[in-house]
Amino acid sequence: MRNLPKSNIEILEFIPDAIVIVNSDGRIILVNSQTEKVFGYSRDELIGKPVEILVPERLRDLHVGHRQDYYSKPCPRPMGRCSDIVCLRKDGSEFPADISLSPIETEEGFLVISDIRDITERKRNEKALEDSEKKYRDLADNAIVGIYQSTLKGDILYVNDALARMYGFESPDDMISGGALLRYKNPKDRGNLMENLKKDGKVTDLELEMLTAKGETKNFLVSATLNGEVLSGMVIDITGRKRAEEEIKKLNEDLERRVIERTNELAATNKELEAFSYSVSHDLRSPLRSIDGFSQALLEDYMDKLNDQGKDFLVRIRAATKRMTQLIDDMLNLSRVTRSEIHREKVDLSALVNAIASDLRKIQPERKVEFVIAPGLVTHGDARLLRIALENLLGNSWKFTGRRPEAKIEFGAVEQQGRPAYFVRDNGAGFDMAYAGKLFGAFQRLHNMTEFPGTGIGLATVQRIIHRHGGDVWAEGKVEQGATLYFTLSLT
Amino acid sequence: MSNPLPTISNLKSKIILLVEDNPDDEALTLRALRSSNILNEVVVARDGREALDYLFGEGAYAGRDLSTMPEVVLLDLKLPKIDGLEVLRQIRSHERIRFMPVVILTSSREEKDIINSYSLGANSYICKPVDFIQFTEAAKQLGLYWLVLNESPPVKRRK
Repeated sequence: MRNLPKSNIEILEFIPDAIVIVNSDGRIILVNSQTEKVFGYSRDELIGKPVEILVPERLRDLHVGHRQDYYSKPCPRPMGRCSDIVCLRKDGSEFPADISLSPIETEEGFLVISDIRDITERKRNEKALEDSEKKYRDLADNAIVGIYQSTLKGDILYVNDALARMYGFESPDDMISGGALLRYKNPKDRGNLMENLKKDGKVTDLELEMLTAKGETKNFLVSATLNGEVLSGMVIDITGRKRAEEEIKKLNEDLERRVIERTNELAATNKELEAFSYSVSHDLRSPLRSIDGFSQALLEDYMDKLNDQGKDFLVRIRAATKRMTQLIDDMLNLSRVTRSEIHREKVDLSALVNAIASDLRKIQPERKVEFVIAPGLVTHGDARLLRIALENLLGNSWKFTGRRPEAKIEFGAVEQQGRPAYFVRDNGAGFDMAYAGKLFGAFQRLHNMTEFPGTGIGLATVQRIIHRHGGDVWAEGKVEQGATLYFTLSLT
Repeated sequence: MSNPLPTISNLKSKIILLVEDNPDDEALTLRALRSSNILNEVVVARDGREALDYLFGEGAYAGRDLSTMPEVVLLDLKLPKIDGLEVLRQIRSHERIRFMPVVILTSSREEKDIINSYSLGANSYICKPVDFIQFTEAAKQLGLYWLVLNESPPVKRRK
């Protein structure tokens, strides 16, 4: 504990600011040690000098003017009044300062006591704060998502550009002056939001319908936290996304509806087709029967009145009706094959071929045909349709080996790209590979009617059946050296 | 001891009811029967209505002596007015004639027709072949079977 210093002047030594006392001529008459420290001068170097020695050269004239203004109307001026004061140290460096001025009248005349404080540190802090604040403000202002702060009552404390624009305002200011922040489409939503906030202190990813300034409805995704009385939140405009979702939903419903319509149409068409082919085949057969019947009646009753030519004509008529009947049957089969549903099950192809072979033998027991049938070839498919396909293939082989005294028909499988390719091979009439492309066309024949009868639908039917099973069918042949028909089936 | 072979007299008295709307088919069927030596009386009804009138003694056949019934009905399916299946249904639902042999004689080979016919109680289903020689053969077999070999149900007498 010390005693108070002896004179007032000594007190000045303990003041942490630089004290400079200037007389009416502007000369320094007293400084304290802090002044020495701050400005880098010794006391003696300053006493008697004009106070402008402490001011940067460029500002000296201005300072003189200020000083004279001050002298004309001196009054105590505390710190914080002037903001751009710059001081000059002895070493030529400058620093920002804050100054207070106090005029006094003394025996030595009018004096001004100035308290000079180096505010470099303060300025630096202020700048740092300013920068920081700017940084965060920029972040919020320029965010793409909407950011806001409001009171619990709904008064806006802050909105960023993005949010203002979301609500259809030109700028945040427009929005603040425009009214309450949360313009709910369904007022109940506000209650929900508030409840959640009070309960958990926050809401996350709440989908809300809001009204914009123009009264449009938009969909917003809102997240907010409650800190005391202040709500801080983020808003994302998901109107676009919601509309897209709705579009997709509508498109899907549309699509479903159309699929159902099409399926019904298809079913109806199929039914019509069925009725059509049924009635067509029925109605076509009737007149054929008449033609054939009365031709035969003619042949029988007027035999003596007909010459050979006449008889020949009638025979041809009957042959033609026979062909047409076969055609009708084949076409009916083909269309039925296309329309019928596929029921997949295990099918023993070897057994099927055996059965068909024995049927063929029963129909024409006089023929000598050797069958070589690979056993145990089992697959998955529609048993009925596969039977029709094999009947056609084997029937063809049977027919086209008709002229061979030693006819041989084989059934087996070869491996092709990991899948079995089944084949029916015969040593019959064969065909010219040049016409291989026509083989499977409907009504296409590679042989003359007189050589081998047929309507040309058999292979078209086979192809349709195989294709419906997801497989392929192709042929290899040589004229008079037999033919091999291959087919694959998909397993699914 | 039952008489296994029919005499000419009672063979001739057996009637065939042919229900057929197509005049060509009618002519050809009759021809086929004749050339197979089946010389029985053939009553021809040209649609379902006529067939039922004949069997029940109504309409054009009002007052017919109903003790005389056909031995067998050869029934086409596609008929105007009342179709074949309806005729069959009516025959099978009437006490007096429900056991009458009905042979469906049609050009349809459709599975649903076959199923429906048998479901309603047809005795037989024959597809009319286009080939006339085959048709004649079929008619002959039909005639021999139903008129000669088959034992027909007795006709219930009116009290």
